[in-house]
This record gives sequence, C-alpha cells and structure tokens, in this order.
Amino acid sequence: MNKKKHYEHMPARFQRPSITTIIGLTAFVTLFILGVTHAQLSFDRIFSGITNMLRFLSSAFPPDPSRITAISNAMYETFQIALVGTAIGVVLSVPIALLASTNTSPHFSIRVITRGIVSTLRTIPDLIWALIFVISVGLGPLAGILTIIVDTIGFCARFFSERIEEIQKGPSQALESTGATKIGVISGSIIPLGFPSFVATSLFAVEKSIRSAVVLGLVGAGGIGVELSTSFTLRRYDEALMIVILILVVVIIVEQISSAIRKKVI
Amino acid sequence: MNALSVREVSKVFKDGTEALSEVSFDIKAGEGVVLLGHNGSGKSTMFKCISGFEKTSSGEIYIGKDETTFLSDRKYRPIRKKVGMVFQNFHLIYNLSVFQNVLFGAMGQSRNFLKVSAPFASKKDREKAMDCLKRVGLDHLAKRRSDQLSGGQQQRVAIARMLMQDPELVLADEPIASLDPKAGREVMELLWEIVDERKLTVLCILHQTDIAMEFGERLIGLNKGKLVLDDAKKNISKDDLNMLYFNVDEKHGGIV
Repeated sequence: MNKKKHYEHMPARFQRPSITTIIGLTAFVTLFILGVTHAQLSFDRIFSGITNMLRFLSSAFPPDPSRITAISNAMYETFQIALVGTAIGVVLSVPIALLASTNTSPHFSIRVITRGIVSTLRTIPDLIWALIFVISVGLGPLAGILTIIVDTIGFCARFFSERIEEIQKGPSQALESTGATKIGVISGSIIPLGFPSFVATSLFAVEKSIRSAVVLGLVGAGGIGVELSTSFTLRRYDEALMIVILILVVVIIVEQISSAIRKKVI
Repeated sequence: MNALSVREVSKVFKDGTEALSEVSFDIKAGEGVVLLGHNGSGKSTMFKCISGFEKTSSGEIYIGKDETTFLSDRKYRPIRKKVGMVFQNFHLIYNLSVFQNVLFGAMGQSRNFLKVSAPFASKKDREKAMDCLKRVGLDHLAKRRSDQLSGGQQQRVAIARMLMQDPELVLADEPIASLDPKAGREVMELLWEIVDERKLTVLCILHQTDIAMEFGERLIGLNKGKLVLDDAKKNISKDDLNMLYFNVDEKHGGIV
C-alpha cells in the first residue's frame, strides 16, 4: 500500500496542528503574558505582601471570642439564608430544567427562552444580584435569600437539564408504550432516573450557597458578611479571625454532611 | 379478526435511506408470529412504526380496528394501552424497586401518575402487580432494586410490567438478545406460556432462527426493507432462513 495514501486516513489533527489550534494557543500565551505584566508581579511586591500578611496574622492572633454569641447568631442567619434560598432554588430548578431540556421541553421556542433565562441568571455574578435585591427589597436576609434562589436556579437548572438530556430514552419509551401521559412519563422515568444526580447537584449547591451567603453580607444582604466587613473596617483583626474560623467550621461540617448524603444516594 | 394489519408500509428516512418498502402482512388475533431479518433489514423500524415511535412515510397500520397511521401522540395513547411491549434492554427504571416497575405497567389506565406510585396505588393495583410478579416467578424479589437483578430476571420484570398493562397485542423487540442462551430460552418459554394462556397475539423480533422455528407459528422475514418471507413454520425450510440471513450484500453488514 502507498504509504502516503495510507496516512491520509489519519485524523487531520494528528497530521499537523490546525490553524484554529495555532491561533488559540497564540492567543492564550499572549493573554497570559499580558495578564502577568499587568499584575505587576515582582519579587518586591511578593515580599512586601508576605510581610503584610504576617503583620495581619500577628495582630489577628489569638482570635477574639468575646462577641461569639453575636457572631454565632449572624452565622446562623447566613446558614438559614443559604438553606432556604437553596431549597426554593432547587425546587424551582426542576420544572425549569424540564422546560430547558431537548427531550422534555414541550416546544423548541420554550426551550430556547428557558435556556436563555437560565444562562442570564448564571452569567450575572451573585454579588451583583445581591446589590439588585438590596435596592429592590432593602437591606437584610430577604435580599440574601432572593440572591441565593437566583444563583441556585442558574447553577442547578443547568446541571439538572444536562442530566435530563443524558437520560436514555428507553425507559421513557417503555412507559410511553403503556399509554402513559407526558407528565406520567416524566414523573415515572425522567425524575427517578435523574434523582441521584439532582441530589448530588443540590448538595453542591448548598455548599456553594453557604460560601456565597457569607460574601453577600458584605453588600448588606444579611448574615455574617456584615460582621466580617465591620471587623475589617474597624481593623479588629482578632475578631475577624474568629469569624473566619467559625465560617470554616460551618463550611466543613456542611461539606462533610453533604458528602455523606451524596455517597448514600449515589 | 386481525389483531394487526400492516398495509403497504414504506419508511424513507430524511437522509434518503429506504428502511421499509411497501411491506404488508396481517396477524390474526391469537397468532404467534416471529419477525426475522439481518441487521439493517428494517425489523426495528417496522417495530417502531407499529408502536407509533416512528411515523411511516406511506401505507397504513391497523391495531385491531384502529388505524394508527399519522395519529398524534395524544390520539395514539388509548391504542397504546392495548399494546404491551418487551424490549431488548428491558428498559426498567433501574433505581426503582421491581414492584414499582411492575406497577408502572398500569400507567396508561389513569391520567393521575400518583395512582401508579407504590405508596398511593390502590389495593387492587398493588395486588395485581404482585400477581403479575408471581406469574413470572419473581414475587419474592418485589422489594429489590431492579438493577440488582440478573438480565434474565430483569426481562421477567419487564414481562410482568407488560402483563400489568392487560394488553391484547404483544410486541417483543429481540427480547433475548441481551441474555445468555439458557436465560434466553427460559424467557422465551415464559413469554410464550403467558401469551398462550391469555390468548394474546404476539409479534416477536428474533435473530435466533432455531428459537424462531421452535416458538413461532408463522415466520415473517425482511431483507433490505422488503418482505421476502411470510409463511407458516411448517412450510419454511432451513434454506429459506439461510437465504434470509446470508444472501446479503456487504453494505448491509451481512456475509455475501
């Protein structure tokens, strides 16, 4: 066999890199170098950064537990914001994901519109949503809950929808063949088959929401973020460290619980 | 009376592939027919057209007296209730119990999904599901998750689900293709016993010519989408079957 002809059957990308690959790589390297230059990364800056960090740590130690009750209450509020927001967000994500999935959406246009909405919710960062809701409903936990709901829908509806589209159509066809209605087929096959993945995604959403809820306080959307912001502004770094430790403990506990549930469900 | 009538059915896919070409046959009520043909011969397309999962390009299909051609899903739903299906890959909801899977067979009987959900199902339906499971010899495994069962057992659950539906016509798409020879034979025996005792009509797609000759009263053969064989078992020779499977050009994946 002609050797040259034989190699012609090899996929093009194995013969030589494509123009797209070369352009992509060049763009990436250029952006990386520009990024590093723009950040003015220098030995002096890193050295002074480490010195400042050590100064902060020395003034933060030992952590100050004097306001532990107030801090704990704020942390509890953060946890509530995350839990309530995520629960509502997850529940709303299921029908939204069904409308956004190719195999369950009643119409192409509904799917496109729903996907567009979900993408928009996901693209706008949670801090911006928090600012919008603080303006809309005022300072406090309600703005935080609304932010978490929107953030959870952006995250969960997308992953739920991807899982729904991955579900093999065989079991649904089997139920359809019994004369089941569309709702019956979705409730009897799509939801149960997607359930383990929905639970896993929802638990990730809870973890994500707790971290988000902490930061939301910084813009006045309730929770421990307000306490953290105040401590830093007043340079009470020992109190700030106490808050950080408490956040860390809660986040680790939630992650452990969610990981245990995930293992059980999957 | 015919349980199924296929009249000059053709199916041409969007890419121009002609999967079925003017196929016609009738199946009388209570008849057990096996549909044979090599891969790509049009068997599965025929199956999908009969079950309404694929629309025909031309021709007519009648299930009992009802013409099903070009019916919308909604209008086809009441007809589907009369057609029980058994699939090659069982198509069970793998993470639900065997019992729940069987209960789902009654899904077409009610518009309310909750009526076939294990906690809310009526006593009558629950007892019927257990009877169906008993008939396939798996009542002792009702609580198990269906993916914890062997392939043969899962196909039995699928047969129980089909029984729960109270069908008049059974369509079986290669029901033993995923099973080892022993389990496959057991499933075929069970399916045919049930079909006989309930006097059901069955159209079963098979690849195993020996099994087809053993169980089918009548054999239908497709080749390149055309009906090339339709006769009672007693009139069919081994040569007829060999022609069906081996006189195939390479393009269609067979042996010349």
